[in-house]
Amino acid sequence: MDLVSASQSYFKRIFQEVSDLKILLLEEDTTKIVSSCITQSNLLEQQIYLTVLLGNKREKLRHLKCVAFLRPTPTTLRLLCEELRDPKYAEYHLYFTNVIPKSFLERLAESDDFEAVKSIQEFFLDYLVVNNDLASFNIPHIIEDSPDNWQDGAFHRTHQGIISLLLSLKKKPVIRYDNNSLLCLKLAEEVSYTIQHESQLFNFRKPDTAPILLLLDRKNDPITPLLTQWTYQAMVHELFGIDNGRVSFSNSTSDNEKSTEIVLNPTLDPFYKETRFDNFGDLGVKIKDYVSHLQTKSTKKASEIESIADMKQFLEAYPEYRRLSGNVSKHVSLVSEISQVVQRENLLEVGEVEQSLVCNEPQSTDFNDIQRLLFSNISENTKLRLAALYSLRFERIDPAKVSALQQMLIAGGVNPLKVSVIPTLLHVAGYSFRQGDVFPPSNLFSRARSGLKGLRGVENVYIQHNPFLKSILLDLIQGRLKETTHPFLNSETRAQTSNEKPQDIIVVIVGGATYEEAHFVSEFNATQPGVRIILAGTTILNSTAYIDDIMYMSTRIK
Amino acid sequence: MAYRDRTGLYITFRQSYSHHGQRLELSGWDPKEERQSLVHKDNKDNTVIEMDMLAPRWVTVEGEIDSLLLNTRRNINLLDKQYAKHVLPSFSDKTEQENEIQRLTIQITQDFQRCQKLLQVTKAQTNSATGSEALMAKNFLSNLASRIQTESAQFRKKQSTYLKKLRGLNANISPVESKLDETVSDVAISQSTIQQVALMEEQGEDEQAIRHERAVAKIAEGIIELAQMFQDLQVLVIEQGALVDRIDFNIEQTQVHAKSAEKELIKAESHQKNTGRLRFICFLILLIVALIVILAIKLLR
Repeated sequence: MDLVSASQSYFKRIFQEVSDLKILLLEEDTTKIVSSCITQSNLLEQQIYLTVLLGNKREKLRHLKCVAFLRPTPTTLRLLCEELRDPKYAEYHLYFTNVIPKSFLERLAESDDFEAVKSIQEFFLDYLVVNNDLASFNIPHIIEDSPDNWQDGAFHRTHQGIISLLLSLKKKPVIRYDNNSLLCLKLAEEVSYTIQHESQLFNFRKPDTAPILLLLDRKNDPITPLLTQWTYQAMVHELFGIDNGRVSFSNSTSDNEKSTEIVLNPTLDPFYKETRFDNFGDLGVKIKDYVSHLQTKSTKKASEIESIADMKQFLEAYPEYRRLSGNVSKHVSLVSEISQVVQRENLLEVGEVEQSLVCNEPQSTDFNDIQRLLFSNISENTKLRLAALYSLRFERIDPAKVSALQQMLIAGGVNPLKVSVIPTLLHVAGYSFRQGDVFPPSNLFSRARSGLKGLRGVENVYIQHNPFLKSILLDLIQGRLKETTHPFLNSETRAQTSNEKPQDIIVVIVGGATYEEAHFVSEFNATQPGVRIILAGTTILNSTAYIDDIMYMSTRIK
Repeated sequence: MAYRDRTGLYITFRQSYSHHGQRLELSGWDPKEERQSLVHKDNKDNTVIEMDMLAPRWVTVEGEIDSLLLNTRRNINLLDKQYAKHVLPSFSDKTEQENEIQRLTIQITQDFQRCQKLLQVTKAQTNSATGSEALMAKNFLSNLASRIQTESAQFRKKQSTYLKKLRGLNANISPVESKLDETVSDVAISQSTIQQVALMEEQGEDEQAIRHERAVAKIAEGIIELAQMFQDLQVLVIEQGALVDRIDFNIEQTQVHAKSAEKELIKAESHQKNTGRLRFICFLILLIVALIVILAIKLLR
């Protein structure tokens, strides 16, 4: 159950099977997939000196063998048929990321006049590898015209993603889903149908306890994607956005205002791998150590280095050294940029208010805090987030204030169009549309507990919040997850498995997962012996992406 | 990682289509063929050699470098054994061993330098390449450079450990110490070694000792040369984990290049069109002038 090793073994196999000089033929979607798994230097090591896109104009290079890594879509089929009628390369080895329909094969065979195709295989890698336990299907919007209705393309893509995820991990799961979500039900039925239909493919050795595919709907936890994040990976995504491992941010400290683009890949960058779940405070300490590590290396070994000019010269002279220093300076500039934004957006205060809003008992002072922040000098997005969180929290307690808040947003200079996000959010993910409670239940016991917490002193006020997913997973691991909220798709499987404690769990969040949830999944994997969890989302959300998605919904829902 | 091979099914489908007659026709027996000469007598009927069927010439360099690297690896192993023997304390004469070590060291260093030379030659050859061939050549060189770099770095590491042992320095380097320290120190150590030999010669020390130190200095020189080479190769090598190491980034880059090339082409085209038009206008003006002159002459008469 490791996505990085699964994906890399696929590529290892491809490279073993085709020898000699090769050209790699991709399309836009698979370019993203390939880039999330391997690097350019990996390709060069395998004598792949050219990488081209199927849709582009290309020269004939018939001394090369072609390795094609493609998704089985109608567009690909059309382009590939054209290609085969006039082959540009010596031979074709086709690898598809998913199950190929028979009709697809037939049409391809029909066009293959020159018998250029030497092999066709299905390598199930139809998702982006983000962490070794986090995958993304890279679909920003999934809803058609009501919150319960899939957009066709998105549905198909998600379904394919899940099938390939299961096959690449060699799992034939029992399916559980959010009972209140029609999106999840439809997806569960389709996945289950494919598993039965392709029984030959899903013919794996039966494990002692059946793996579980848990389909969740984002609407049951609209809180997590709206919160300010305080761990490294999540923070970078929240503030700048991680696009398939690439981050671009404008470097305000450097002279030119041009934005810098960097790569964050936990498999290639040991420092990032180690610190991605650290909170901002610990991160600062680690960064400092990292820099001083570089410093001691330079001073200890080459004592003649004294000035910065010496240092620069030294770095130029020793390329291996430059690699480390490049990485150090990458993280230093990223972290310094983060702290700039934290200050500019007053995120420390915002974060505190947010956390008390979602973790503590509702208090009347919350409104004043929010009000103060709405008229302070912070960005539109932050204001919207705060208002959205307040609205979700006080939706039933104080509806008057919730609507007053929307007026205040407009008065505070937020685009009225964007303010419409809040009613839509309440319509999609409001109290009556959710199951379970993302907020701590308000009863005497919890009040006593929060009182106790106050006495003991909270360890870190900024990271009190636990995503709803955590409690679901805890229940599931202990075999306590209720069937009323998360039923099995097939009732016969229930009898065998209902009381078992599952070992392998694949969680798919329809509507997008977050890095905060990924953090907790990683923590589970590290601390719970015998339990292995993989998290996947239709996309990886940050607050901007989530608000965008809600905006998109508000234009579509009738 | 499950996978499924569909080649068999695909070939069955392919065979069921009749279009494969085309291929049969080509290979079918043709009575005319008997009387055809091997070389066309008719000069007009030039045989076409399709260039895209042939790999570019520089691809063969890879084989050469492969065999050189293989050779060095074998030599490095031999050298390892000699080193192990040499550092063992014994009273017997070590001159022969030292000579062997020296010979191997020089051989390896030369091989590495030959590799580098080959690369440079290839680089010069491919400078004129265009389009995808240029890109391919660049990637090709970068791969070879990084391979040579890794091999030579390993060799240097071994050499500097040996050198440290010889010079009685602290040879127990902890394994956690990264390659980085090695590079920094191996050059420094080599430099100081060479200086020391020079110093000894000046002071006119015992000939035996000088001879020994000179042998050591030879190794040190080799290290410095290789360090220099490492630097030169760095220009070609892709930094791992950097943006240039991303596959999508590279594809984007080539697309940008292609687009800008296209733009240039359009510009050039319109430019050419314009010059044609301009020429035509000039021609017309000249014609008019000429006609006026003719008219004037006629009127004057």
